[in-house]
Amino acid sequence: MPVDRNGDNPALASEQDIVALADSLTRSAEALHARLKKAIRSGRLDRTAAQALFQEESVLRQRANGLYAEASRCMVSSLPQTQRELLALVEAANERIHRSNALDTLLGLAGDLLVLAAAACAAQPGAIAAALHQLERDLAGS
Amino acid sequence: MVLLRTLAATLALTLAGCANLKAVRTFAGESARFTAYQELTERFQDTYRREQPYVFGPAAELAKDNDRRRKLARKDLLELHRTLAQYLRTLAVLAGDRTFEVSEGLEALGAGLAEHPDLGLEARHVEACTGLALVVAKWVAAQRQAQALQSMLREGDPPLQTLTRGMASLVEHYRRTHENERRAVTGLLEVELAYADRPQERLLATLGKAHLQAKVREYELAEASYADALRGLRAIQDGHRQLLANVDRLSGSEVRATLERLTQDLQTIRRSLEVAHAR
Repeated sequence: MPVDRNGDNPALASEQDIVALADSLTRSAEALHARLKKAIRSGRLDRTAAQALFQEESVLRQRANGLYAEASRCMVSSLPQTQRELLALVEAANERIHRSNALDTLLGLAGDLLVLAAAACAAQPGAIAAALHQLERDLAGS
Repeated sequence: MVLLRTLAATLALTLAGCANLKAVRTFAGESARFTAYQELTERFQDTYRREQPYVFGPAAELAKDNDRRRKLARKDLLELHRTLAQYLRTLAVLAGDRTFEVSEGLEALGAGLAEHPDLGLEARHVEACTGLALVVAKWVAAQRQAQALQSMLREGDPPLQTLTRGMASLVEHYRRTHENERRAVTGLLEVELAYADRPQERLLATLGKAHLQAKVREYELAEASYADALRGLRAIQDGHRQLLANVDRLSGSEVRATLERLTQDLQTIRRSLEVAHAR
Protein backbone atom coordinates (compact mmCIF):
# COMPACT_ATOMS: atom_id res chain seq x y z
CA MET A 1 0.00 0.00 0.00
CA PRO A 2 1.59 3.30 -1.08
CA VAL A 3 1.81 5.81 1.72
CA ASP A 4 0.67 9.34 1.11
CA ARG A 5 3.00 11.41 3.28
CA ASN A 6 0.69 14.42 3.03
CA GLY A 7 -2.14 12.54 4.64
CA ASP A 8 -4.57 13.09 1.75
CA ASN A 9 -5.28 9.36 1.53
CA PRO A 10 -8.42 7.89 3.10
CA ALA A 11 -7.78 7.64 6.85
CA LEU A 12 -6.32 4.52 8.53
CA ALA A 13 -5.45 2.82 5.24
CA SER A 14 -1.88 1.86 6.15
CA GLU A 15 0.05 0.64 9.16
CA GLN A 16 1.71 4.06 9.45
CA ASP A 17 -1.74 5.68 9.61
CA ILE A 18 -2.78 3.37 12.44
CA VAL A 19 0.43 4.09 14.35
CA ALA A 20 -0.09 7.83 13.84
CA LEU A 21 -3.60 7.54 15.34
CA ALA A 22 -2.19 5.52 18.26
CA ASP A 23 0.43 8.25 18.82
CA SER A 24 -2.31 10.88 18.75
CA LEU A 25 -4.46 8.92 21.23
CA THR A 26 -1.41 8.58 23.49
CA ARG A 27 -1.18 12.37 23.42
CA SER A 28 -4.89 12.52 24.35
CA ALA A 29 -4.08 10.41 27.41
CA GLU A 30 -1.18 12.76 28.24
CA ALA A 31 -3.49 15.78 27.93
CA LEU A 32 -6.09 14.15 30.20
CA HIS A 33 -3.41 13.31 32.74
CA ALA A 34 -2.09 16.87 32.79
CA ARG A 35 -5.63 18.20 33.36
CA LEU A 36 -6.28 15.59 36.02
CA LYS A 37 -3.18 16.51 38.00
CA LYS A 38 -4.00 20.19 37.76
CA ALA A 39 -7.55 19.60 39.00
CA ILE A 40 -6.28 17.44 41.87
CA ARG A 41 -3.79 20.14 42.91
CA SER A 42 -6.51 22.79 42.89
CA GLY A 43 -8.56 20.59 45.25
CA ARG A 44 -11.61 20.77 42.98
CA LEU A 45 -11.80 17.08 42.21
CA ASP A 46 -12.99 14.38 44.60
CA ARG A 47 -11.37 10.95 44.64
CA THR A 48 -14.18 9.18 42.74
CA ALA A 49 -14.14 11.76 39.92
CA ALA A 50 -10.35 11.58 39.75
CA GLN A 51 -10.46 7.79 39.52
CA ALA A 52 -13.10 7.99 36.78
CA LEU A 53 -10.99 10.41 34.75
CA PHE A 54 -7.88 8.30 35.28
CA GLN A 55 -9.82 5.26 34.10
CA GLU A 56 -10.58 7.07 30.81
CA GLU A 57 -6.90 7.87 30.46
CA SER A 58 -5.92 4.23 31.11
CA VAL A 59 -8.40 2.93 28.57
CA LEU A 60 -7.03 5.35 25.95
CA ARG A 61 -3.52 4.05 26.65
CA GLN A 62 -4.64 0.43 26.32
CA ARG A 63 -6.40 1.27 23.06
CA ALA A 64 -3.23 2.91 21.75
CA ASN A 65 -1.20 -0.16 22.78
CA GLY A 66 -3.74 -2.39 21.05
CA LEU A 67 -3.24 -0.42 17.83
CA TYR A 68 0.56 -0.72 18.17
CA ALA A 69 0.29 -4.47 18.75
CA GLU A 70 -1.81 -5.17 15.70
CA ALA A 71 -1.49 -2.17 13.39
CA SER A 72 -1.73 -4.28 10.25
CA ARG A 73 -5.03 -5.83 11.34
CA CYS A 74 -6.64 -2.46 12.04
CA MET A 75 -6.32 -1.02 8.53
CA VAL A 76 -9.59 -0.08 6.81
CA SER A 77 -10.35 1.11 3.30
CA SER A 78 -12.41 3.94 1.86
CA LEU A 79 -13.18 6.03 4.93
CA PRO A 80 -14.79 9.31 3.86
CA GLN A 81 -12.31 11.29 6.00
CA THR A 82 -8.66 11.67 4.99
CA GLN A 83 -5.86 10.75 7.36
CA ARG A 84 -5.04 14.44 7.66
CA GLU A 85 -8.62 15.25 8.71
CA LEU A 86 -8.69 12.42 11.22
CA LEU A 87 -5.44 13.51 12.88
CA ALA A 88 -6.49 17.17 12.84
CA LEU A 89 -9.71 16.27 14.70
CA VAL A 90 -7.94 14.21 17.36
CA GLU A 91 -5.28 16.88 17.83
CA ALA A 92 -7.98 19.58 18.09
CA ALA A 93 -9.62 17.49 20.83
CA ASN A 94 -6.23 17.15 22.58
CA GLU A 95 -5.75 20.90 22.38
CA ARG A 96 -9.25 21.48 23.83
CA ILE A 97 -8.57 19.02 26.65
CA HIS A 98 -5.41 20.96 27.50
CA ARG A 99 -7.28 24.26 27.66
CA SER A 100 -10.70 23.34 29.01
CA ASN A 101 -11.55 23.83 32.66
CA ALA A 102 -14.98 22.23 32.53
CA LEU A 103 -15.05 18.64 33.74
CA ASP A 104 -18.07 17.93 31.52
CA THR A 105 -16.17 19.00 28.40
CA LEU A 106 -13.19 16.84 29.38
CA LEU A 107 -15.33 13.78 29.97
CA GLY A 108 -17.32 14.38 26.78
CA LEU A 109 -14.24 14.66 24.58
CA ALA A 110 -12.55 11.73 26.30
CA GLY A 111 -15.71 9.70 25.66
CA ASP A 112 -15.67 10.62 21.95
CA LEU A 113 -12.01 9.65 21.67
CA LEU A 114 -12.70 6.34 23.42
CA VAL A 115 -15.49 5.52 20.96
CA LEU A 116 -13.18 6.40 18.07
CA ALA A 117 -10.35 4.27 19.53
CA ALA A 118 -12.66 1.29 20.03
CA ALA A 119 -13.97 1.57 16.45
CA ALA A 120 -10.42 1.81 15.10
CA CYS A 121 -9.29 -1.23 17.11
CA ALA A 122 -12.26 -3.18 15.72
CA ALA A 123 -11.46 -1.91 12.19
CA GLN A 124 -15.10 -0.89 11.59
CA PRO A 125 -15.21 1.91 9.00
CA GLY A 126 -18.85 2.85 9.68
CA ALA A 127 -18.25 3.22 13.40
CA ILE A 128 -15.01 5.15 12.82
CA ALA A 129 -16.71 7.62 10.48
CA ALA A 130 -19.59 8.08 12.95
CA ALA A 131 -17.17 8.62 15.85
CA LEU A 132 -15.32 11.27 13.85
CA HIS A 133 -18.59 13.07 13.06
CA GLN A 134 -19.52 13.05 16.74
CA LEU A 135 -16.10 14.38 17.71
CA GLU A 136 -16.41 17.15 15.12
CA ARG A 137 -19.85 18.13 16.43
CA ASP A 138 -18.68 18.17 20.04
CA LEU A 139 -15.63 20.26 19.18
CA ALA A 140 -17.85 22.77 17.37
CA GLY A 141 -20.32 22.84 20.27
CA SER A 142 -18.01 22.95 23.27
CA MET B 1 58.74 -32.08 8.16
CA VAL B 2 60.68 -29.13 9.54
CA LEU B 3 60.54 -27.81 6.02
CA LEU B 4 56.74 -28.14 5.96
CA ARG B 5 56.34 -26.36 9.27
CA THR B 6 58.48 -23.51 8.02
CA LEU B 7 56.46 -23.33 4.86
CA ALA B 8 53.17 -23.39 6.76
CA ALA B 9 54.37 -20.55 8.97
CA THR B 10 55.47 -18.52 5.94
CA LEU B 11 52.17 -19.25 4.29
CA ALA B 12 50.18 -18.07 7.29
CA LEU B 13 52.09 -14.81 7.29
CA THR B 14 51.63 -14.31 3.55
CA LEU B 15 47.90 -15.03 3.80
CA ALA B 16 47.54 -12.59 6.63
CA GLY B 17 49.30 -10.02 4.51
CA CYS B 18 47.19 -10.48 1.41
CA ALA B 19 43.72 -10.60 3.00
CA ASN B 20 43.32 -9.23 6.50
CA LEU B 21 39.74 -10.09 7.32
CA LYS B 22 40.05 -9.79 11.08
CA ALA B 23 38.00 -6.58 11.19
CA VAL B 24 35.26 -8.19 9.08
CA ARG B 25 35.27 -11.25 11.30
CA THR B 26 35.18 -9.30 14.56
CA PHE B 27 32.43 -7.01 13.31
CA ALA B 28 30.24 -9.88 12.08
CA GLY B 29 30.90 -11.85 15.27
CA GLU B 30 30.01 -8.92 17.54
CA SER B 31 26.91 -8.17 15.43
CA ALA B 32 25.79 -11.77 15.88
CA ARG B 33 25.99 -11.24 19.66
CA PHE B 34 23.62 -8.26 19.48
CA THR B 35 20.74 -9.22 21.78
CA ALA B 36 19.06 -5.89 22.54
CA TYR B 37 16.25 -6.48 20.04
CA GLN B 38 15.57 -9.95 21.39
CA GLU B 39 15.47 -8.70 24.98
CA LEU B 40 13.12 -5.84 24.15
CA THR B 41 10.87 -8.28 22.29
CA GLU B 42 10.65 -10.34 25.49
CA ARG B 43 10.02 -7.18 27.52
CA PHE B 44 7.23 -6.24 25.10
CA GLN B 45 5.76 -9.72 25.51
CA ASP B 46 5.86 -9.34 29.31
CA THR B 47 3.96 -6.02 29.32
CA TYR B 48 0.80 -7.52 30.82
CA ARG B 49 2.61 -9.36 33.60
CA ARG B 50 4.13 -6.05 34.75
CA GLU B 51 1.10 -3.79 34.34
CA GLN B 52 -1.56 -6.25 35.53
CA PRO B 53 -1.55 -5.12 39.22
CA TYR B 54 -2.05 -1.49 38.14
CA VAL B 55 -5.00 -1.75 35.77
CA PHE B 56 -8.68 -1.88 36.72
CA GLY B 57 -12.11 -2.20 35.13
CA PRO B 58 -12.38 -1.81 31.37
CA ALA B 59 -8.65 -0.99 31.11
CA ALA B 60 -7.86 -4.36 32.71
CA GLU B 61 -10.01 -6.17 30.16
CA LEU B 62 -8.27 -4.37 27.30
CA ALA B 63 -4.85 -5.06 28.81
CA LYS B 64 -5.64 -8.77 28.78
CA ASP B 65 -6.82 -8.55 25.20
CA ASN B 66 -3.66 -6.69 24.15
CA ASP B 67 -1.60 -9.40 25.84
CA ARG B 68 -3.29 -11.95 23.61
CA ARG B 69 -2.56 -9.81 20.52
CA ARG B 70 1.11 -9.49 21.46
CA LYS B 71 1.49 -13.21 22.15
CA LEU B 72 0.23 -14.05 18.65
CA ALA B 73 3.26 -12.36 17.13
CA ARG B 74 5.89 -13.61 19.60
CA LYS B 75 7.34 -16.43 17.53
CA ASP B 76 7.66 -14.32 14.39
CA LEU B 77 9.20 -11.38 16.24
CA LEU B 78 11.90 -13.62 17.72
CA GLU B 79 12.49 -15.41 14.43
CA LEU B 80 13.67 -12.11 12.91
CA HIS B 81 16.46 -11.96 15.46
CA ARG B 82 17.38 -15.63 15.08
CA THR B 83 17.75 -15.35 11.31
CA LEU B 84 19.80 -12.15 11.48
CA ALA B 85 22.16 -13.66 14.07
CA GLN B 86 22.54 -16.82 12.02
CA TYR B 87 23.45 -14.83 8.91
CA LEU B 88 26.01 -12.75 10.81
CA ARG B 89 27.57 -15.83 12.42
CA THR B 90 27.92 -17.43 8.99
CA LEU B 91 29.52 -14.25 7.68
CA ALA B 92 32.03 -14.31 10.55
CA VAL B 93 32.89 -17.95 9.80
CA LEU B 94 33.26 -17.19 6.10
CA ALA B 95 35.73 -14.42 6.91
CA GLY B 96 37.62 -16.77 9.25
CA ASP B 97 41.35 -17.28 8.75
CA ARG B 98 41.01 -21.07 8.91
CA THR B 99 37.82 -21.42 6.88
CA PHE B 100 39.63 -21.93 3.60
CA GLU B 101 42.43 -23.96 5.10
CA VAL B 102 45.15 -25.01 2.66
CA SER B 103 47.47 -26.83 5.05
CA GLU B 104 45.48 -30.09 4.79
CA GLY B 105 47.07 -30.81 1.44
CA LEU B 106 50.56 -29.96 2.67
CA GLU B 107 51.43 -33.40 4.01
CA ALA B 108 50.50 -35.08 0.76
CA LEU B 109 52.28 -32.40 -1.20
CA GLY B 110 55.50 -33.03 0.69
CA ALA B 111 55.12 -36.78 1.02
CA GLY B 112 55.02 -37.34 -2.70
CA LEU B 113 58.40 -35.75 -3.26
CA ALA B 114 61.74 -37.29 -2.53
CA GLU B 115 65.26 -36.13 -3.18
CA HIS B 116 67.24 -37.85 -5.93
CA PRO B 117 70.72 -36.40 -5.44
CA ASP B 118 72.27 -38.73 -8.04
CA LEU B 119 69.93 -37.24 -10.66
CA GLY B 120 70.65 -33.73 -9.45
CA LEU B 121 67.25 -33.34 -7.71
CA GLU B 122 68.36 -31.84 -4.43
CA ALA B 123 66.61 -30.72 -1.27
CA ARG B 124 66.40 -27.12 -2.46
CA HIS B 125 64.59 -28.25 -5.61
CA VAL B 126 62.08 -30.27 -3.61
CA GLU B 127 61.61 -27.27 -1.35
CA ALA B 128 61.11 -24.99 -4.35
CA CYS B 129 58.57 -27.38 -5.86
CA THR B 130 56.57 -27.61 -2.63
CA GLY B 131 56.81 -23.84 -2.26
CA LEU B 132 55.40 -23.25 -5.72
CA ALA B 133 52.54 -25.66 -5.12
CA LEU B 134 51.76 -23.76 -1.91
CA VAL B 135 51.65 -20.45 -3.72
CA VAL B 136 49.05 -21.92 -6.07
CA ALA B 137 47.05 -23.40 -3.18
CA LYS B 138 47.23 -20.16 -1.23
CA TRP B 139 45.97 -18.01 -4.07
CA VAL B 140 43.23 -20.44 -4.98
CA ALA B 141 42.10 -20.46 -1.34
CA ALA B 142 42.26 -16.68 -1.00
CA GLN B 143 40.37 -16.28 -4.25
CA ARG B 144 37.69 -18.72 -3.18
CA GLN B 145 37.28 -16.95 0.14
CA ALA B 146 37.07 -13.52 -1.49
CA GLN B 147 34.51 -14.73 -4.01
CA ALA B 148 32.41 -16.45 -1.35
CA LEU B 149 32.46 -13.33 0.85
CA GLN B 150 31.62 -11.05 -2.06
CA SER B 151 28.65 -13.07 -3.19
CA MET B 152 27.36 -13.44 0.38
CA LEU B 153 27.59 -9.69 0.97
CA ARG B 154 25.99 -8.82 -2.37
CA GLU B 155 23.10 -11.22 -1.95
CA GLY B 156 22.77 -10.58 1.76
CA ASP B 157 22.75 -6.80 1.85
CA PRO B 158 19.26 -5.96 0.45
CA PRO B 159 17.38 -8.40 2.73
CA LEU B 160 19.62 -7.50 5.71
CA GLN B 161 18.90 -3.78 5.30
CA THR B 162 15.15 -4.40 4.95
CA LEU B 163 15.07 -6.80 7.91
CA THR B 164 16.98 -4.48 10.24
CA ARG B 165 14.78 -1.53 9.24
CA GLY B 166 11.75 -3.65 10.13
CA MET B 167 13.33 -4.57 13.46
CA ALA B 168 14.02 -0.88 14.16
CA SER B 169 10.41 -0.01 13.49
CA LEU B 170 9.33 -2.81 15.87
CA VAL B 171 11.64 -1.40 18.55
CA GLU B 172 9.81 1.94 18.07
CA HIS B 173 6.50 0.11 18.65
CA TYR B 174 7.94 -1.51 21.76
CA ARG B 175 9.12 1.88 23.03
CA ARG B 176 5.68 3.44 22.52
CA THR B 177 4.02 0.53 24.32
CA HIS B 178 6.55 0.87 27.12
CA GLU B 179 5.80 4.59 27.39
CA ASN B 180 2.07 3.94 27.82
CA GLU B 181 2.79 1.25 30.40
CA ARG B 182 5.09 3.59 32.31
CA ARG B 183 2.53 6.41 32.36
CA ALA B 184 -0.31 4.07 33.34
CA VAL B 185 1.64 2.59 36.28
CA THR B 186 3.19 5.78 37.64
CA GLY B 187 -0.02 7.74 36.86
CA LEU B 188 -2.14 5.41 39.00
CA LEU B 189 0.25 5.77 41.93
CA GLU B 190 0.37 9.57 41.55
CA VAL B 191 -3.42 9.91 41.52
CA GLU B 192 -3.98 7.56 44.46
CA LEU B 193 -1.16 9.09 46.53
CA ALA B 194 -2.75 12.50 46.09
CA TYR B 195 -5.74 11.25 48.10
CA ALA B 196 -3.83 9.22 50.68
CA ASP B 197 -2.93 12.13 52.93
CA ARG B 198 -4.82 11.36 56.16
CA PRO B 199 -2.69 10.56 59.24
CA GLN B 200 -4.09 7.02 59.45
CA GLU B 201 -2.90 6.44 55.87
CA ARG B 202 0.68 7.46 56.55
CA LEU B 203 2.07 3.93 56.21
CA LEU B 204 0.17 3.45 52.95
CA ALA B 205 1.40 6.79 51.61
CA THR B 206 4.99 6.01 52.57
CA LEU B 207 4.96 2.60 50.90
CA GLY B 208 3.22 4.09 47.87
CA LYS B 209 5.83 6.84 47.49
CA ALA B 210 8.72 4.40 47.89
CA HIS B 211 7.12 2.07 45.33
CA LEU B 212 6.60 4.97 42.91
CA GLN B 213 10.28 5.91 43.23
CA ALA B 214 11.33 2.33 42.46
CA LYS B 215 9.02 2.14 39.44
CA VAL B 216 10.25 5.48 38.06
CA ARG B 217 13.83 4.21 38.33
CA GLU B 218 12.95 0.88 36.72
CA TYR B 219 11.31 2.57 33.73
CA GLU B 220 14.20 5.02 33.34
CA LEU B 221 16.63 2.11 33.05
CA ALA B 222 14.43 0.33 30.51
CA GLU B 223 14.03 3.56 28.52
CA ALA B 224 17.77 3.68 27.75
CA SER B 225 17.76 0.21 26.21
CA TYR B 226 15.38 1.27 23.40
CA ALA B 227 17.88 3.88 22.19
CA ASP B 228 20.68 1.31 22.56
CA ALA B 229 18.82 -1.23 20.46
CA LEU B 230 18.20 1.32 17.69
CA ARG B 231 21.85 2.36 17.79
CA GLY B 232 22.95 -1.28 17.53
CA LEU B 233 20.69 -1.97 14.57
CA ARG B 234 22.09 1.13 12.83
CA ALA B 235 25.66 -0.08 13.48
CA ILE B 236 24.83 -3.44 11.87
CA GLN B 237 23.23 -1.68 8.89
CA ASP B 238 26.16 0.73 8.44
CA GLY B 239 28.78 -1.97 8.89
CA HIS B 240 27.19 -4.27 6.36
CA ARG B 241 26.76 -1.41 3.89
CA GLN B 242 30.47 -0.58 4.33
CA LEU B 243 31.40 -4.21 3.72
CA LEU B 244 29.42 -4.26 0.50
CA ALA B 245 30.80 -0.92 -0.70
CA ASN B 246 34.38 -2.12 -0.07
CA VAL B 247 33.83 -5.67 -1.16
CA ASP B 248 37.01 -5.61 -3.32
CA ARG B 249 39.27 -4.19 -0.62
CA LEU B 250 38.06 -5.62 2.67
CA SER B 251 41.52 -5.49 4.22
CA GLY B 252 41.92 -1.76 3.40
CA SER B 253 42.79 0.39 6.39
CA GLU B 254 39.82 2.73 5.93
CA VAL B 255 37.13 0.08 5.96
CA ARG B 256 38.92 -1.64 8.83
CA ALA B 257 38.85 1.54 10.90
CA THR B 258 35.11 2.00 10.26
CA LEU B 259 34.37 -1.62 11.15
CA GLU B 260 36.42 -1.36 14.33
CA ARG B 261 34.48 1.74 15.41
CA LEU B 262 31.13 0.03 14.73
CA THR B 263 32.30 -3.10 16.55
CA GLN B 264 33.18 -0.96 19.57
CA ASP B 265 29.70 0.60 19.45
CA LEU B 266 28.13 -2.84 19.50
CA GLN B 267 30.40 -3.92 22.38
CA THR B 268 29.42 -0.83 24.39
CA ILE B 269 25.75 -1.61 23.85
CA ARG B 270 26.23 -5.23 24.91
CA ARG B 271 28.07 -4.18 28.06
CA SER B 272 25.44 -1.62 29.01
CA LEU B 273 22.81 -4.35 28.70
CA GLU B 274 24.91 -6.61 30.91
CA VAL B 275 25.20 -3.81 33.48
CA ALA B 276 21.41 -3.29 33.36
CA HIS B 277 20.93 -7.01 34.05
CA ALA B 278 23.35 -6.93 36.96
CA ARG B 279 21.34 -4.25 38.76
